[in-house]
Amino acid sequence: MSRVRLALPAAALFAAVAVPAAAQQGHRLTAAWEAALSEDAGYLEPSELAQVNVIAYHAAVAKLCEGYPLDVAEIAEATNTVIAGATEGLADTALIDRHTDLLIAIGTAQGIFLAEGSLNPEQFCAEAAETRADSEYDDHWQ
Amino acid sequence: MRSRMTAALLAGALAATSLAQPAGANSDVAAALAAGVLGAAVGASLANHAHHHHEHKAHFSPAPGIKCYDYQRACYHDGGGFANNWTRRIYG
Repeated sequence: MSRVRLALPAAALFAAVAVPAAAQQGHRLTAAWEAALSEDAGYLEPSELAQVNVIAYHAAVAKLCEGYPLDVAEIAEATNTVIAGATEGLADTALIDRHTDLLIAIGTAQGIFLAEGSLNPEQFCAEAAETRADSEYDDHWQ
Repeated sequence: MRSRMTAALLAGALAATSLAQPAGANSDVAAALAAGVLGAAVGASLANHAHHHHEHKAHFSPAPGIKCYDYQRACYHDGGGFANNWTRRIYG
């Protein structure tokens, strides 16, 4: 089990350091996202996948940037909303499997955002400040 | 449920995998990892997209300085990182 759990961040970090500069578009680790995303199976609505990105991004910023502790209640509510939507109508093993998939998905996205931010920390945190300053949308930091 | 999810994000979401599943689900986790784990959650939203590799890299610009990637359902600053609020504006 520990080998499985370690494989994911290792893969994300490998993708981050191994991707050639030409494969990056801005700070986006294109190769990492290409590797992580798959069309073989799926169930999230577009807005739910966007929300996975938003949740993972907030968690990554909280880890890399000073002064951005997560708002625990808000991030939990956002996460639970995505999970509730994606697991609607499921039960037993199917419910557990999808729940597990979602946790892995959020972890994978967070790992890639951590890699993107680690490679460009000053701009990553400056853009987080812009996100926080934008009054149109509430963020999920305290 | 809420406390579990929150703890997962704060401690590292990967660790939550071990909290959320019974021991017997390890093979499912391995299968998800092998298949492209984020893809396992990507969803029917992508089902209507043409399955051509080059389209995964396609992006559009809803505003100067912003690029959005449908495949990821995410927007980025041109030459920079993830654009959280543009992502919410376009895909949220």
